[in-house]
Amino acid sequence: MTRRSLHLAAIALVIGVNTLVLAGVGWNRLGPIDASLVLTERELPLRGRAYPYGEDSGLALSLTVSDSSLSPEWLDDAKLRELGFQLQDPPPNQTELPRQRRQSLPRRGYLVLEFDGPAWQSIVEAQLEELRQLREKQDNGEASAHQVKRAERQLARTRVYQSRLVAVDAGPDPKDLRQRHPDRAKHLVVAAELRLRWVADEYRGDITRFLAQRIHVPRQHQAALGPILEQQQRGDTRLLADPPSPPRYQVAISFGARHEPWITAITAL
Amino acid sequence: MDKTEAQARVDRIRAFQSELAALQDQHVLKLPDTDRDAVQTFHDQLLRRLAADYDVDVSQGQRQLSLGMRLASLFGALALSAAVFFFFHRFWGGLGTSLQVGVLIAAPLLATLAMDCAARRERTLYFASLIGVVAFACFVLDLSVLGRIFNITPSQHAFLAWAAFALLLAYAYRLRLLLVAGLTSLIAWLSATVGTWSGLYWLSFGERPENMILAGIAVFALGWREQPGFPRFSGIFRVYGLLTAFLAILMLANWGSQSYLRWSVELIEDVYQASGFILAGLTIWLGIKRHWTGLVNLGVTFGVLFLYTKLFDWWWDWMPKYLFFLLLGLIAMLLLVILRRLRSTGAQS
Repeated sequence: MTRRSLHLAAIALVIGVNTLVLAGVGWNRLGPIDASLVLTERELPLRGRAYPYGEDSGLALSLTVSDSSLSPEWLDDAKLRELGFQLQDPPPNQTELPRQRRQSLPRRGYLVLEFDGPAWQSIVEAQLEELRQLREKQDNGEASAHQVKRAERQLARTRVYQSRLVAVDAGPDPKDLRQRHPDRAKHLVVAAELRLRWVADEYRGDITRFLAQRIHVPRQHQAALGPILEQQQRGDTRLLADPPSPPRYQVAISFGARHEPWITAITAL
Repeated sequence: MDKTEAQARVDRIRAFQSELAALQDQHVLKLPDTDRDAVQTFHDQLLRRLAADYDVDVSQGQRQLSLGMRLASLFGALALSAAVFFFFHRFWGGLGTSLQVGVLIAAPLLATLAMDCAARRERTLYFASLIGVVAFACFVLDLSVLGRIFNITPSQHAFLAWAAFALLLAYAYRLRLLLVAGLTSLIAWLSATVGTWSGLYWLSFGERPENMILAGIAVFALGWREQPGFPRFSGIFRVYGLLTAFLAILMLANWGSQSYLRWSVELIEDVYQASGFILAGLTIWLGIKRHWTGLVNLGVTFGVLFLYTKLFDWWWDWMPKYLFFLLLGLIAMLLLVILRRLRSTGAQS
C-alpha cells in the first residue's frame, strides 16, 4: 500500500470510529427510554473538585447507592451462579489462601437499583429498631449515652443525607431484569462489576463499581451547581454538619436503550 | 534503496576510507595516485548524492546530532501530547456539547493532516514523527472524552482503534515511535480480550498477568518474518512482544497468587521462575542463531534479572550483606566468562 492510501485509511478510521461511537450514543438516547426519574444530591453527589479548584474543568456527578446494599444478602449462591460465577462446593478454606485468592475475578452483570422504595424503608426501619434497642439497654445501664447519640446521628444521616438507591436484584440479562421490575420511574437497570469472595465457609457477592458511575454534567445544566461550587471553594462542611444538611439540588436523569444515563435537568432546592 | 540502506553504504565508505588510510600509513598498500583519486572522486560524489537524496549522516558529528534530534523529537512528542491533554481538560467544561464533540473529532484529523505536510517538507521526518505522536494522543483523548461526555460503558475495543490508527501512520511514514505506540495499544487490547475469555470483566485484565503472556507471544510471532521496506519494524515486534511476556513471567515468578493456575502459590512461583530461565535461554539461542541482536540482549537482561531476584529470595535475609554482594559480583564475572566463550564461538563460526 502506498503512503497516501495508508494516510487516507488513518483519516477514514478516525471518522469511522467517531461515527460508530456517536451512532451508539444516538441509539441509546433516541430509542426507547429504559428509565427516567428525579434523584437528588444524595444519590448524585458532585464528583471531585472542578476548575478553578482542580485542573479539570469538566463537572460530573457520581451515581451512589446506599452503603448497606453494596454486599447484599439477596446476592446468594443461586444468584451468583446465574451471574456466571463458578462456586466450589464446599467453598475453599480461606485461611489457606493468600489475600488475593479470597475473592474471584470480577464479572460484568446488571443490577436493579430501587429508588426510595421498600428496600430503603427496611434500611431505615432496621436502624430505628437498633436505636430503640439501644435506648432500652441505656435504661438498663447496658449502653452508654454516647452509643445512643451515635445511633441517633447515624439514623439522621440515613434519613437526610444518604442515598436512597438500593440494589435489589441482579442478573446477566437486562431485559429479564426489566420484566421482573417494570416500574421505570422507580427501578434503574445499570451495568456493574461484581465480585465473589468467600468469608467463613460461605460465599458473598460484592458490587464493586457501576460501569457508568461518573455522569457528566453538560454546560447547560451547570448553572444550578454554581453556588455549590463556591461553597466547595470555602470548604464543604455538609458531610460534617450536625444535624446533617439536606440535599441542595435535584437531577432529572434518563437511562436509554444501552442503560447509559444522561442528565436532562438540574434544579436547585 | 531506503534511508537505512543509504546510511549503511555511507558507513561502509567511511570504514573503507579509514582502513585504506591506515594501510597506506603502515606501507602495506599504496594505490597509484590516479586510482586513489578516482575512488576518492567517486565516493565524494556518491556521499553528496546520498546526503541530498536520503538526508543521511555523512560525518560522526552529524551522527551525534541526529541522535540528539531523535531524543528531542521523542521528548517533544511526549510533552506536546501532555500539553494537548491538559489544555483540553482545562477548558472543555466551558464548551457546549456540540463544540466539545467537534473539537475532539477535528483534533486528530488536523494533526494527521499536519503530519503529512511536515513529511512533505522534511525528509528526516523528525517533525512528522513528533506530530504523529500528537495525532495519536488526540485520538486517544477523542475516544476517552467522548466516553465521558456521553457516559458510555468502557470497552476494550477502543485500544484496537488506537492500535490501528498508530500502526497505519507508522507504516505510512515508517516511523518507529508510532509503531511502539500502536503495539502498546495492540497488546492492551489482546490482553484484555484474552482476559474476557475466562469471563473476567476487561478492566481488571491486569489482575492476571498470564493474559499479557499470550498477547506478547502473539506480537512476537507477528515479527517472525522480516518486513521488506520497513527497516527494524520486525525487530521491534519481536523485542516488544517478548519484553511483555518476560515482564508478565517476572511478575508471576514473584507474586504467584496472581496466576490463573489453582496450584499452591509456591509451586506457581517455582514454575514461572523455571519458565523465565528457559525462555531467557531460548531467546538468547534464537537471537544468536538468527542474528537478532535485540533478542540476545533481552534474553541476557531477563536471565540476569530472574537469577538476581531468585538469589535475593534465597539469601538476602540470612546472609551478611557483604557476602551477598560479593556472590552477586562473582556470579556476574561467571556470566561474563560464559558470554565471552559464546562470543568466541560465534567469531570462529
